[in-house]
Amino acid sequence: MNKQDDNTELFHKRMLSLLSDEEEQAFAARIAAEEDFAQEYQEYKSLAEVLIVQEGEELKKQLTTLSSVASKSEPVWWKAAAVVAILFGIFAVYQWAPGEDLYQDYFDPYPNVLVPTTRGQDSPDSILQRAFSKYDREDYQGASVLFEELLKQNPSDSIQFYWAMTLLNTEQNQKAESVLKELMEEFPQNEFKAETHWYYGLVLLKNKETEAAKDAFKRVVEHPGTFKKKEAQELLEQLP
Amino acid sequence: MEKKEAQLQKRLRDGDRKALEQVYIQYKDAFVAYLSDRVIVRDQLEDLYQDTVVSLFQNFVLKQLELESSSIKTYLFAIGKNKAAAHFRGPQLVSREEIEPKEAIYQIEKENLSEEQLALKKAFERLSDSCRQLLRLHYYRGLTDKEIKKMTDYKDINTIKSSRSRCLKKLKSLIHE
Repeated sequence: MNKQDDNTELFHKRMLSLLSDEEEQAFAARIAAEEDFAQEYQEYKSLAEVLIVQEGEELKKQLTTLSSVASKSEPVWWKAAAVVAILFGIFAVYQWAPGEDLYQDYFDPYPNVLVPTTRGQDSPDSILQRAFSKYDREDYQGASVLFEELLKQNPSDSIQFYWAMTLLNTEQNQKAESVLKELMEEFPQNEFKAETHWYYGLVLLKNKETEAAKDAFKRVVEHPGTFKKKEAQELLEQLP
Repeated sequence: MEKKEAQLQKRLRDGDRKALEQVYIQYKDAFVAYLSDRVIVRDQLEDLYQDTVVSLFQNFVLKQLELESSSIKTYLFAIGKNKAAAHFRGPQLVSREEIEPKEAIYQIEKENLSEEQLALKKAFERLSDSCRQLLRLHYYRGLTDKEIKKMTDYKDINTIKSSRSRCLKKLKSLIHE
């Protein structure tokens, strides 16, 4: 008879020291009395430790990639943002544009800073990888469907943010507005707080809700970070 | 517990790799600030932080951890402090009282593996995706065949058993290649 299946949970818990004192005593007694049982446990533990170390290495690789992508892309991104900010500063002196035009002028797609797209990764998060791969290739329609699917499985503030980004990039502005609003209400402390207010402000502008848009831009200005602060300030000065 | 914290803990238990990245990003600055006076070389700190986040993630997955008295952040810092102490052979920085016994950190490093285990590891990396997946569910997640059947496309428990023994056989044969 194959006893292995019955013992999986027991072995797993024992290895991680999760047994109660009583269970631990019973376990030790069995180890002492039953040679087969002892051997079975040793085999389980030996391979389990291998897999834990192996999985740990894969996870670390993922973080190393994330870290190198973040440190490479960040400065470029901020430099680009600074240039854009200066250009708009000059531009703003000469021209006042109403909502629709301002939206066009100020809107740019938010970069993928979350999931570096890599090839050939044997990852359980394949929907996530696929979604961001499409996002990176500017297939916003395709990415949108996958983000929505992911959110059904697991609510996540950052995925919801990127879903809203795909909606903005596919001109689904009313829907984008409500998704961003919900994001702020459900996750007031989310990672992309300033970004959420910024894009929420822009979409309100586009949807001709100027007063509400101004509130959103004020939040961007008040946010401790530097994201789009200058642009938000410019917009506040320009809007009636 | 805050809703957001509870959700993140759940995603960590589920082994959601995006949650791994989220934790990494979310606490990095605070962690670096906290340990920068203890760990001088910046490169070491990055490395230490990555190991710490990985250890947190694996503890959540392996133990299906539900932190009640502490938060992800305190747990993360506790792991980091212990790692820093072990790494630099300094005094233990976390008193035992800071962590509940059931939340004790499980730790295994490559250095702890035997020669035989290292050979197994190399062989495992050459297995097919389906074998790796199946062995992971059993030996890493500690799931019973009944539970594995529920979350995979295997036809029945006997198929799982026979597939596993086929994969183990393959694994052992790869060691000798």
